Amino acid sequence: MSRSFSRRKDQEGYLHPLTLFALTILFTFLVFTRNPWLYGITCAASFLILLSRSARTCIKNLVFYAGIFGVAVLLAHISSGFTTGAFLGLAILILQLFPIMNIGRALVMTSSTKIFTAMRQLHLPISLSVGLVTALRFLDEILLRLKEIKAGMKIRGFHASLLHPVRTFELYFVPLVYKCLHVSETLVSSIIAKGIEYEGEKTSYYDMRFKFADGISLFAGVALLGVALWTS
Amino acid sequence: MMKLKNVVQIAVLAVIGCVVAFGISMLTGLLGMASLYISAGFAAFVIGPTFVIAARKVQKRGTALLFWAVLGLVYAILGYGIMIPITLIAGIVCELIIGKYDNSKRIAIAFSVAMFIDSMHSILLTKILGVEGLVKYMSSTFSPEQAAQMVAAYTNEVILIAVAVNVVLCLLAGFFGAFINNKFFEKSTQQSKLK
Amino acid sequence: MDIMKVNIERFTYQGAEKSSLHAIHFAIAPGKLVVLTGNSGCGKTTLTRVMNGLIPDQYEGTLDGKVTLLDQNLHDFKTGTLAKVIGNVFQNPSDQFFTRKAEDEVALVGENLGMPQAELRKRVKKAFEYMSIAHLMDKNLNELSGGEKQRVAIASTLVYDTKIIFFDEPSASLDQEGIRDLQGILKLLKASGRTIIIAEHRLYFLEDLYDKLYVMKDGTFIKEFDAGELKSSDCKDLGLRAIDFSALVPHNTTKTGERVFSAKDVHVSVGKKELISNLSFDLHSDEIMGIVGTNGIGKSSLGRVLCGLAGKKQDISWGKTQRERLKNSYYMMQDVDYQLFFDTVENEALANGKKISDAYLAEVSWIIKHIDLWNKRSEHPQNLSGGQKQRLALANAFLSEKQILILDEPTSGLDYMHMDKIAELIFELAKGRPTLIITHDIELLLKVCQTVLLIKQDGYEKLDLQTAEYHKLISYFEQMMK
Repeated sequence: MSRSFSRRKDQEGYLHPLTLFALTILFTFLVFTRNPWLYGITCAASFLILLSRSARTCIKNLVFYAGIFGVAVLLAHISSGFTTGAFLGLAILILQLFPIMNIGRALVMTSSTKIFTAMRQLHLPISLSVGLVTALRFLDEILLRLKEIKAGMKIRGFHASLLHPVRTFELYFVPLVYKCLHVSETLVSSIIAKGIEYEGEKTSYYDMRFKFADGISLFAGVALLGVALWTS
Repeated sequence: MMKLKNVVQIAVLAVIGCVVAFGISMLTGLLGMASLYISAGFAAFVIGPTFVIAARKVQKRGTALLFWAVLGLVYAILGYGIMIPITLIAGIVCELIIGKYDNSKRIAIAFSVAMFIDSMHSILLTKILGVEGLVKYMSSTFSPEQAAQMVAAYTNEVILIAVAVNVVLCLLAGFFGAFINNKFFEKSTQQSKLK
Repeated sequence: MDIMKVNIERFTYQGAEKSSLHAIHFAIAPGKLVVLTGNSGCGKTTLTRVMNGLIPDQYEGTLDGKVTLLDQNLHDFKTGTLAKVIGNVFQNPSDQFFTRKAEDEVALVGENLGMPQAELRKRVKKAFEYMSIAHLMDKNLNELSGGEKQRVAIASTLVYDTKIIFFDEPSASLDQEGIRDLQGILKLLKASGRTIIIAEHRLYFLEDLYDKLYVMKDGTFIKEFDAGELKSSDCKDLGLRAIDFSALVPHNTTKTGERVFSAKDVHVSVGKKELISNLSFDLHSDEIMGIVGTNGIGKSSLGRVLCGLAGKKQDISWGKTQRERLKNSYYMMQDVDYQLFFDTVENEALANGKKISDAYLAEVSWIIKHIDLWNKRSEHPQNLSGGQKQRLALANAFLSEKQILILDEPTSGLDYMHMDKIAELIFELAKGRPTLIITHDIELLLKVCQTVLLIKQDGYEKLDLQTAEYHKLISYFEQMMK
């Protein structure tokens, strides 16, 4: 019972990857509107979209948002010098970008299969689609790999240092690049062996038609943009 | 003919470069006025090595163009969709200069030129788009106030300094990329100290 | 009729001076399980790549010869369609996954080859059920254990009625329980009539399964065995991994010295989950202690606590705090790629915290010769093979001036010859420094360790391998295979 429920949610509950991508672009225009109401709605909508993908990530982002918001409020009160001004600017920029980051996170968390199918729907060349989906997969892992490299450095007694930027760069960069290239080689062999280069018709495991939720979301996005342009 | 393996290598390297560079760009934003001059300069030092490695590993026509196209797409996901045409121009120019992908110096120079085009985006866009254009097309970066400040900040003098600084930074970044590639990703020619 | 016929005169990788394969001629009957074994670099992975069609398209080179599958030349199959007939399970399951979710990964092959959605859903579900992992369908692949990941990888070969499944060193990233499970799966697949081809060092789990076993050396077959023919004595003569444990005996007879270190009531947890609690042990000078334990018990996490990468404050005599433990101990990670940073092998070895003097240069020269990397001393460490990297990482551990060494799976994926080499190195270089080895390689344990800390769900015990207690270790391993 619970199995069929989760399947239904997976098929119908989430937005199409192309909708998410379109929303990223729409939100790019929306988040810098001077209208606090519009910013609030955009922000809330982005958290809702993220919530529909993962409650845990949504809560994490909410906490992070609240933290940055707190810092911004604090800096705004004590702001006087150049440095605090720069930090305040950065905090505000992060807050403004937050809705896009939320949607971007939802997009990155979308099943690679769905993104891959969406790219096929756009008639992008297969090799490019594979390249981008693989790159997205690595995007998710870069921080994890950097953490392991840091552990390896600690054991060998090497540390990051601003005084030696080139050495520090090498310490992190070289193992990271080698690792990603090694993994990508196995990955490519694996997907070729799974027939990715087959030139005939392909199918999708998921129902990838645009649904009501996609229409509503896009309509709401465009409508909000209209309001934003009209009020400005 | 480029193989799937090559496309994936290029995409992975471009993404590594872009992600690390994006992190660094956020930090250079903290430098306030100085960021006007060096905009993409620091990021170039991360993208440079990934580009040279990709070019030398794949050594096939189209590598440069694909690398810059992927950068453009990642920029788009991060909210800088307007960068796509600029990265495409950078990619085409890079492809024209790079030759047969067999000379590290030439690859470094091709990268430097492309990166210079990329790093000039803020000045180009400011000049071409003006305040209204900036708000319209790059709203993720600028509020109207910021856009106005930006346009005012880019006086001819500032532009001249920015061009000079970026030429130097991009050239250095290109050769830094070649240095990292030669040191870690090409066959070593070092003499052994051991006996 | 044979399902596959292989006739290779010669294969040379692009840019290589020497050929990787030569004079290989054999045929495989349907439903048979064929094992290709031999030392690293003998050509077994290359041979599987020729047989599964990845050579010469994916891995470029010159192939003089022909492979036929169901009487059709492999290269006459339409691009991609081989996936309907051949399934592949690569060495490290995590590296071969394109998607994040288990069911997506299994469905990929069907999507690529245009299987209708309703049929695909049915077949994916069936593949999961066949592998007894229906509960993992909607799980994130990163959250699965090594064995579970491997089951997903195998499930993805079952969406079509594949005739042949290739396995490249399937036991390399598995622990004892994982290997036992793999044995069960292979039995199941064989019973279903599929032809199975395995390139592998470890042989004990294949003893009752293989129909044909080919031993390779320098790119060609040097010996072949039919079912049940391979004996322990053959393994010894040919330098292969043991086919059964019962003949193994401990080798290290060096007596340990006085007690130098102790750990009391060590706690190991990951997140909020406590994996090990109240673990205490003493270490003596010259002691080499193995750490063995059941799947998921937290052996690597224990290693991280003992070396100071985790675990905050602990009652450990070589360091109460993480910082102190990091200063005094060295941890060789399971994945040594994260511990190699320099441009050449010799610079990697020279960078171990000592001042460069003539004496130090001589010490590094000696160790690089000893780990058999002298001819590669000017090459980039990350370009070495897996076994070579492990040897270099081991050299780094010994060149460090740390008082205690912790090695995490130093021989995973190594053939007998290289395992033996590493065992020799540990034996020789660990003198004067207590060394802990986290491993499930029983041959290594019995070659170098005097003691073993055996951690089970219900507690732990320290075995003295120099007494009859070593039988307990062997029966523990035998038990795990039942």
